Amino acid sequence: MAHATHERTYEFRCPVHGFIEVNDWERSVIDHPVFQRLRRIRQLGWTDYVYPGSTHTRFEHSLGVMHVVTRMYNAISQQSRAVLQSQLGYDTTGVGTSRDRQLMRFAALLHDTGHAPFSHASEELLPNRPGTNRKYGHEDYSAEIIRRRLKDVIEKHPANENMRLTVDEIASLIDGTSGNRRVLFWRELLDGQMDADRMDYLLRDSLHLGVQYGRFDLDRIVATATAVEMMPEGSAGVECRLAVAKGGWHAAVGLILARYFMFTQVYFHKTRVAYDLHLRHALAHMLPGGVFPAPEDDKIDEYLKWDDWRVLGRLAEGKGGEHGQRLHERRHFRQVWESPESPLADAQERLDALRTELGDLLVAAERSEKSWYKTGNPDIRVANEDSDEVQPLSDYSPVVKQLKEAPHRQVRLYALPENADEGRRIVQEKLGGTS
Amino acid sequence: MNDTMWHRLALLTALVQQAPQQRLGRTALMKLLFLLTTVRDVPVGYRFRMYTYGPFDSEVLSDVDYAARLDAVSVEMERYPNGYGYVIQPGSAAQDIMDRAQPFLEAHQPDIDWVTETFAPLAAGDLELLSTIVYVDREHRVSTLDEIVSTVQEIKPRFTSATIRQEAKRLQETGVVACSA
Repeated sequence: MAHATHERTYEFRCPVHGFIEVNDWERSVIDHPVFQRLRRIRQLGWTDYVYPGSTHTRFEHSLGVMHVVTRMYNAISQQSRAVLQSQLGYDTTGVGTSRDRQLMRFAALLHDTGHAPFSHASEELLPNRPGTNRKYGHEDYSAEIIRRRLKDVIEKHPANENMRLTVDEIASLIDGTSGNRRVLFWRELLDGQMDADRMDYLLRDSLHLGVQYGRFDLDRIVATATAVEMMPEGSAGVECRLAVAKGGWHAAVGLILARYFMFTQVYFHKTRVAYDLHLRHALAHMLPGGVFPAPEDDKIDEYLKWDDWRVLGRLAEGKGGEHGQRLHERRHFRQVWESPESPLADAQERLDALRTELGDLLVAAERSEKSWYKTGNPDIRVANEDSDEVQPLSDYSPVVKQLKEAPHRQVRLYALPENADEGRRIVQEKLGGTS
Repeated sequence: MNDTMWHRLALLTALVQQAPQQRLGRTALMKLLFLLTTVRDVPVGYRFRMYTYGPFDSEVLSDVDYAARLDAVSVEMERYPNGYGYVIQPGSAAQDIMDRAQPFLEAHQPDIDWVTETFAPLAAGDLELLSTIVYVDREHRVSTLDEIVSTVQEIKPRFTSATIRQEAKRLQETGVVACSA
């Protein structure tokens, strides 16, 4: 039987998930220059100076997130039909479900279109929202880019004649301004404790870097993901929440441990942190006013011109200042001290004392809670089907309880390469073997 | 250097300290911090986004856990049918943590007084409604009270439109909600 053009499907070969299927509508979005730009934004910035395999981009990650979101969405839709119908008003025809699935697929595909060059390394250079002390995030850029640059390719595609999706629905799902409670429920699959974004990048980064730290049982998590009715704190009635069924709690622990290991071994690696710092300063040096253009209509095109290629070109021309030169020559700052991962008050006092002792030798202090890749709160909800109880994962797992009670707040102190030995000597003299 | 973390820990400790009976639920603390950063622009770097349970930033939970590790607060879990919650109270090192950010707390004492006197006595469910109204007013593309009411009711259907309107008007009268019509 002949199919209309928009019903055709295409496949991308993904090193993590195998074949990822996209429809003609999605392919036309993927072909758009806004999405193709993601081929020129590395997933992990300058990490290849530590892990040489880390050259993958936001392009393949975005396809992967769309794939994982779809698996989660399909599983929850099938396994929690009654809850979704009673709490979110889905009917039995499946029409609303397939429309919302498409909405989620687009949001997942496009959630990173607003990334600045080298991904999170440059996030601190996004400007403040007008009249506030609050910075824009890359999600705000993604949302504005979707609203202003992808309207035609999404809303006018023949496949949209029946669905009538709007770019505003997709954008508001990403920037958290949606007023639709169904969308707000599904939003947790994109930005939550058990989200497709995280699950894809842990697996993908592990694969490309050649480490095993980020591996976990994705299949089991998908198979046990569920929607539950529970009574939120201080509420008078039940509401719908995302959870993992009791049979999946060990897989959920695997996910939490994968986050912890990847954070300690990769994302907050001492040298990677130093390169993020150099990149940030080099970018600030080359940007007008030291910040990226705001996500406003007349500035979006200027923002979109910034990708890794442009930055590398400017660095090659010597326009990155002192820190650009350090990137070029691999003369990164050297760590002279690191605190315990979750320092108690006495370690904070040692840090204060060290700062004084190191004086001008100290050129940077980087804290883990400022990193984009935080370990975060590990309490995934676990639903016990037998008792209808919902409990936090830390109730089931002593390991998770320990991680929750000792959040990662490590501090790393850095000196210039030529001063590193002197810095370490001062640290040794002051603290002996204590961290 | 790196004062923001101490500002956050000191701020949440001060909120718990000034709350009625010196205790706050975790949801209530989340919403008070949302109101402080959004309405009073207290610069602690949280990035609240809307979820089915109202404005939320997981960083607040992580900060509460770390504040508990430093004994600035104590956190106890409470179970009830179909759910669970947390009660936060001052810890033995509350004053030490607040001392670390004394100039910051002093500069924002009027904001802390405002949020604890006006909102801390309310139940978590009411705070969830009020913070959702404020989020919709500030972040959504709405310009009238009617739009706020209909959007909030879609997000929080367990509240009647009459209740939402009444609370939105009250917030409007005190200048917390900015929409004019």
